[in-house]
Amino acid sequence: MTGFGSAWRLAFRRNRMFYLWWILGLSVLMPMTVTKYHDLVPAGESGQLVLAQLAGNPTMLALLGPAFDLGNAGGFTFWRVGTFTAAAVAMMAALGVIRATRAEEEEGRAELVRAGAMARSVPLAAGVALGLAACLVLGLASALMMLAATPGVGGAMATGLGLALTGTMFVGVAAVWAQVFPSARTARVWSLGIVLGGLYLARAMVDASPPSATVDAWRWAMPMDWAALARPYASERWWVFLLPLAVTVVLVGLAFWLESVRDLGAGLRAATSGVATASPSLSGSAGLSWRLLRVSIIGWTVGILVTAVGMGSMSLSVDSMFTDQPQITEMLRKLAGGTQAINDAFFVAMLSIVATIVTMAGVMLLSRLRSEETDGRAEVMLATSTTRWRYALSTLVPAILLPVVLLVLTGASMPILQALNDGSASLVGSLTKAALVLTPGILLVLGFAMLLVGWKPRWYGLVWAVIGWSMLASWVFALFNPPDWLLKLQPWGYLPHLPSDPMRWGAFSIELVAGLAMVALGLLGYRRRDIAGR
Amino acid sequence: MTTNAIEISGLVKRFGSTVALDDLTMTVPTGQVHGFLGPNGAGKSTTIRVLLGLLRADGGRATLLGGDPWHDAATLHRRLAYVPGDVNLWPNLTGGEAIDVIGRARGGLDKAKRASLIERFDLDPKKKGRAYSKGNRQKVALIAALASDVELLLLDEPTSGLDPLMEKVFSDVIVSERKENTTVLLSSHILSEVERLCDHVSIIRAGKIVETGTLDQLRHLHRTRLTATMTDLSILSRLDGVHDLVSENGRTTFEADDDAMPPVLAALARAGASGVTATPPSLEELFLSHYAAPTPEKALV
Repeated sequence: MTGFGSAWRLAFRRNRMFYLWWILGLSVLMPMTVTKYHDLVPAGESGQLVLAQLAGNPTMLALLGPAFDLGNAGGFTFWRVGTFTAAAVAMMAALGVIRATRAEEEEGRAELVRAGAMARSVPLAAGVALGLAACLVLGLASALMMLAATPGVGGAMATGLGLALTGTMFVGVAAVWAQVFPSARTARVWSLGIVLGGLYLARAMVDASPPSATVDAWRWAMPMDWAALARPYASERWWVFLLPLAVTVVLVGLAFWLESVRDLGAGLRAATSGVATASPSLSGSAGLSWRLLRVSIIGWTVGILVTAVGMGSMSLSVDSMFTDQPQITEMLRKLAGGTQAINDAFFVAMLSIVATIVTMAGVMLLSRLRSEETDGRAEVMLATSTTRWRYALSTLVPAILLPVVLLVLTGASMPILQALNDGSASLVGSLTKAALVLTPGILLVLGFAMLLVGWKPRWYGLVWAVIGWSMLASWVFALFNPPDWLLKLQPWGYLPHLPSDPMRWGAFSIELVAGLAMVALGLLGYRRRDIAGR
Repeated sequence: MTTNAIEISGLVKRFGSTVALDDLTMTVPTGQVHGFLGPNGAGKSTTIRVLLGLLRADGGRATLLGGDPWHDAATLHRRLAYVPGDVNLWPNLTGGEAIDVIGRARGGLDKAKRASLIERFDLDPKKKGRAYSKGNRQKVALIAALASDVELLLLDEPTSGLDPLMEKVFSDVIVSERKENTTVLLSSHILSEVERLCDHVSIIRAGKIVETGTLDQLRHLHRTRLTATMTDLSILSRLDGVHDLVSENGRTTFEADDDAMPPVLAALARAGASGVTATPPSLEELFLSHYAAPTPEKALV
């Protein structure tokens, strides 16, 4: 491995802040939850009752994973945020590896490095090693903080290992896709959108199914459940960690092999030829934009529809298993806001989560407007008779429409299985309406994104902070009984969650107008600022 | 139609605290092929990007084809074509598709011209953008620009990455464009190319035009290098406008100001000099004389 030292130092220097923020953010999540255990679970009989019902509630199981010993703070914490945190670690690992390997290669920087005194696979080795190291550091930090927060050395170690090894699996996943595809963007979509998203959804569907031997067997096929299946704080099963370890070794090995059979800059498939002239539809900035975005648009649509129907199928078990339970309603209320009926609460919770996810799709589409500029392609188009506004709108319109349409489609398709089951077709209408009422939140986030593109394009990353905050607010911070205004301080916080909330036109119209105003301001900024070249 | 395709006066552009264009003034009459020379970072690309309405000027005035490059950008762009120096294509579009996308966005391109240019530049239009080499990406941008009938070509180091054969093709195309009275602003580092193609040259340094004119005019501002075989040097050394007079092994070399040439030639004849050679300054020497100097010393506009 000639040159590994210098490649490692380069990768470390270029990615240290990226990993530092992820590690800091993720390793405090679980220790923070521990400190809230006694507020959430009252001591004595009533506490045990709450726990028993939580552990059997399919909505919670779908979101959070299988529950083992919820009677102690550590076990409860791992169930409540562990699987979610592990998925976030997987996201960090995949993004980090692709960032350090394929992205560098695509930009042509890897070529400079590889031309030095360096063995061929060294840049991949450095990127993978850094990703593995980051996962281990994160695991160690989490274990130490858990140890400080709650008793149980074994539990803390199992927590750390569970997080770290879920991450290392995705070091492998991302390393493999980074060899297969010549584009970092595609590698990211496959690692996160398809593998991580698909595995999390599959896990949710298995965990929400009514308990049976078959379901238990299936659970072992769910890599996103492995950390929980090692039962941190619930008489740990250490051998379970061999599963993610084996997957990591196999995938990393596969990545190195794939790397050895391909050319620098290329994917696995030889570059194919295309057509010599553009089709009539590939014309103008709108035609170009559709051509550049269509794969993302179709991919997101299929992914969200599958998710919606999958989530809808879980609602069947919610219905069959639950009667009114105030404690669970309370728990769900924290996720969904002011909900009474369990079944409604389930759909409301799911719609809120989907609203955030589809908004991410819009933010990613709009990020093209910025990357086309920094890659020097915007100036070529803007040197033609394409006006600034037309050019910006060709990306902005799909970036707003896609999440809006997908959210409404989710509302319409989620209850379809239930409607077929018991003929309650009215749910389709009411959830479609519920989805429509949440759309100003999407507009608010994308308006903010356009504002940044128009005035401070370098700060585009702030949009992701807004999205990250809204996810944390509904997923985690609800546990901490924060002041209501703080919990609601996110794009979907003040919007009414139909059908459980009454319609509030005030919040709806204010967010709608604020979103549109930011879009307009952003467009004004985009028209009057300098366009960057390469 | 205005007589000047490009008129810039007192143009200022700042990026933060850096002054990229510092009171830049230049004129390109319609139908002229104008060479735009300058070292890296002198402001060539910034000037062109202001002319394209991509950058907003902080001061001064620029007129392009009779219009305002910022406010009338989209309408003016129908009448001009631009080639950047560092072309980045859409990775999943073929070269042919990229040519059509750019051409159609400008308002259409001439299909026959497109086909002939693809053939002359020897481009495979079916390859995907990410598969092209730098030179081939440059060809795509050149074909997209040259395949449409426009009044003005803004070319920012258009031949960077092209092999000499393709540079020759490019020169031929520009020569035929000149016959059709197309105005060309050609920023370049390749002096022989500028010397061959351009009627006029402007040299930019640190955001200012330091010299502009025809090549002949520019040469007049500089000294001619002469060599001769002669014995008596005193007659030369007494003349004004003779510099760096050196004699070695009977061979005398010196430089003479342009104004001093008639007396110098007369003196050489009187002194019975033989084997006289006179070399006018090459563009390269003009160029270097501006680049090597620590500060712009003269602004001869």
